[in-house]
Amino acid sequence: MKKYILSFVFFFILILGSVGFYFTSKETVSQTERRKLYPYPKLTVQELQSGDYLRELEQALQDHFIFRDDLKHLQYQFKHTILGQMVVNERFCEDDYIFRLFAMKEAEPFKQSALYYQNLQEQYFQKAAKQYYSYIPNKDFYSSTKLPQFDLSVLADYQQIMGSFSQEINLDNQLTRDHYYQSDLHWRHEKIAPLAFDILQQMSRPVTEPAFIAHELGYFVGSDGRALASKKIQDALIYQTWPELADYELVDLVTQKPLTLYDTQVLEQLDPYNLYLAGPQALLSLTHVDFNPQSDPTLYLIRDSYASSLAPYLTHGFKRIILIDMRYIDQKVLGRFIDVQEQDTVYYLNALLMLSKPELLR
Amino acid sequence: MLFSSITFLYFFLPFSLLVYHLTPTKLKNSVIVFFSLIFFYLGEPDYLYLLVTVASLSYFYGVSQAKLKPSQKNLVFVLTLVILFALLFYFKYFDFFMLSVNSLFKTQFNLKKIALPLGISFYIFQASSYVIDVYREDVQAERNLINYFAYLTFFPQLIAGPIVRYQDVQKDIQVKNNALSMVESGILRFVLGLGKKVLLANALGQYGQEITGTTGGLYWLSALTFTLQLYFDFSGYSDMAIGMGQMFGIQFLENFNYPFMATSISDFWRRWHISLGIWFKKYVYIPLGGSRVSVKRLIFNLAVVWFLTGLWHGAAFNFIVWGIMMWMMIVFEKVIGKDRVTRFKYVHIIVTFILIVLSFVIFKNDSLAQGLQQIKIMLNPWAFNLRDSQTHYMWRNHLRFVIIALILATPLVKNTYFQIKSEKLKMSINVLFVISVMLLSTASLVNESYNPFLYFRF
Repeated sequence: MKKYILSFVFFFILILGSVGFYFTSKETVSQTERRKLYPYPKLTVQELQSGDYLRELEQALQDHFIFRDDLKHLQYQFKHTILGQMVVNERFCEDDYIFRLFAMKEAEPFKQSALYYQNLQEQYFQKAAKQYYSYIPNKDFYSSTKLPQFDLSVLADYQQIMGSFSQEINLDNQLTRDHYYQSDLHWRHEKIAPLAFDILQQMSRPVTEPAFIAHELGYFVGSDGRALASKKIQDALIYQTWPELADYELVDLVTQKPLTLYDTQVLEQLDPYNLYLAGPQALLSLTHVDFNPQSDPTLYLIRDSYASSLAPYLTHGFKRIILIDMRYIDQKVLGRFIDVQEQDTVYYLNALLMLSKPELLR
Repeated sequence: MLFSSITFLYFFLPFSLLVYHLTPTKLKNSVIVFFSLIFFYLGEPDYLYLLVTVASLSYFYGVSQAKLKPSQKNLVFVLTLVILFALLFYFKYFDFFMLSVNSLFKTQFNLKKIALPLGISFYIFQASSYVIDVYREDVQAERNLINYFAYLTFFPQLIAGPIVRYQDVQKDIQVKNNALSMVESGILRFVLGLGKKVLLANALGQYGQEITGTTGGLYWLSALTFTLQLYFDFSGYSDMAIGMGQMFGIQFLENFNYPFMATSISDFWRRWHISLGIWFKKYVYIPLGGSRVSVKRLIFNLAVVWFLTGLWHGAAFNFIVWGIMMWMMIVFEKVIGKDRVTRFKYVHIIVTFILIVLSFVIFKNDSLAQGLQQIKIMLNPWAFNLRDSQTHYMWRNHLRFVIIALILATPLVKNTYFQIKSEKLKMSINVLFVISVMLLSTASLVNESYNPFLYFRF
């Protein structure tokens, strides 16, 4: 028997792996990765003939493999510890912060994004008296590890085009890595109130800071942490309220349905960052009950997911904020939902990560 | 279907092995054929007919030989070879040929845009070796259709070699060896190949993709990771094929022998893709006269072999140029007598390795001009530019892994293992090795989408 121990070990692993699928086959969601798992494909002659069946089966088997999360973590440890890889799955750790590696090399995508927004403003926002823009640096902009640095010169065309119709509000120097979650790419809501007030001041909207009430919902592992199967680095999910916020209503402008400003059941959902302003939405309005469309200016916030946690604070400067995410709404139909007036302000606020992917803009 | 996929590892392989070992000896080759055709169909449903056609054609050629008159034998032999290579030409080289004609004569012939059938270069070379060997009476024609199909369609070597000659496996196919000791060594070899492919080649490939930039330092790192990736990828696949062959009672010849320990380019090609080298030597080089000819004729013979070797690797000019580069280096070695190294062995090893790394730059790039431009920058020491932040970061991030990969590409670990005298310790190491590689490879497969196999495109 001793002679065949290798065969025994080998086949034990293979059988354990294959039998394991019986126990995991009913799972549809990965809790740690916060995403849907690939379903098992249906076996048809057409699927077999096209080669799709095998491809889809492999994806499903990868997703449903027994002890998958532990194996992922094992792989990270192997690459990081044994092979000495500082960057694994495009992420690296520094003082319990996980950074996503993002090297800016090409100017063209940023230029294309700027041209898109220029076109958008010519169509819809020319009437507005004030227009601003900001880019949001990624978290790794603030890491001290020596990595391929941002080459901010690639933004020259983007800045020139955006500057031709709007004024820049620079966020680079106001942010630090502490403004971002340790395990996620987004901003910590509870840390960015001063940033919001500074933005409002630069828009000539004087504000006074209210007394915030912080609410902690629990802990979560963000997308960067999930990419490394990290269980150690977690973030507290905190949202802040203040008395006046109760006078604001959040409405989905496409469906005209009211939404919850902070969805406190979010920890049970796939992405905890959906806590703020109902997650990814094409068109939202955040409006004070006393808003007067004739006299009160509206802030049009052309944004991505980062603005979800920032927007509530901007209500200190505006009684109505329209949030527009051009990844989810076609430019051609936007006019059906908005009516820009002379007293309004437009703010193009986008993460560099988004600006580097103009193909996402519709 | 890749060997390094969950579907193959955890379903196809154990199930086919189980059925094979539970089947009576008489039917074992039928099981091999059945699973091989399933394997091929799952990966390449549209071209199963092509494989069956090639296998049938070469089988019936062999069977027909006993019944033909000598004058007919020559005709049928030539006709069979022409059909086999015409199939290879049509499916692999037709568009390249038409493109070359269009560019040379300014014509506008339409391209066929045929998707390259999986493993076509491997199984056509294998079938043609059988046809030639039967014609030369180096091997007896196989009369049993199942046995012949088991040889030609055997899934471990079907799509990426080694290119097996029938005479090398005839005994194993006709008289099945089911010794469990062979299964044990097969497992070890398979797991070694899996580790090379998934833990080393895939990781090196991923890093290679990350390396973008135009400094000499980045080009060197990129060329180094590509060379190592190609070696671990292909030799890993060969190890898996050899290991699975053993598990199914068939022993293949070795396909790699630590090629980066080669002391010359000629020596490198005796250690890299050995089965392809043997094929060209046996069926092209020796029939042309081999080396026992005048110097001029030798240079010509080598030119033919290396032109074809380049072309075998791909229907593109950069592969031909790469083949010509190899030919020039080998001719140079023959002229100066470098092929036989007696002194400064390690200097020769390092110089050969650098030349191989440089030659693979041509191999790697889709455009010949791009490859030559990269080599030019690599040869300029002032262009290395380690001060460039990207170059500095890439070297810093990958250096340890590249060193580990280089060490694993030498026989150092193997030699250390064979110095162990205690069988008990050896067995413990083997068990630990199988567990670690299986776990880490599975971890990589469930976590990563990057899992190509470079030699599939040939």
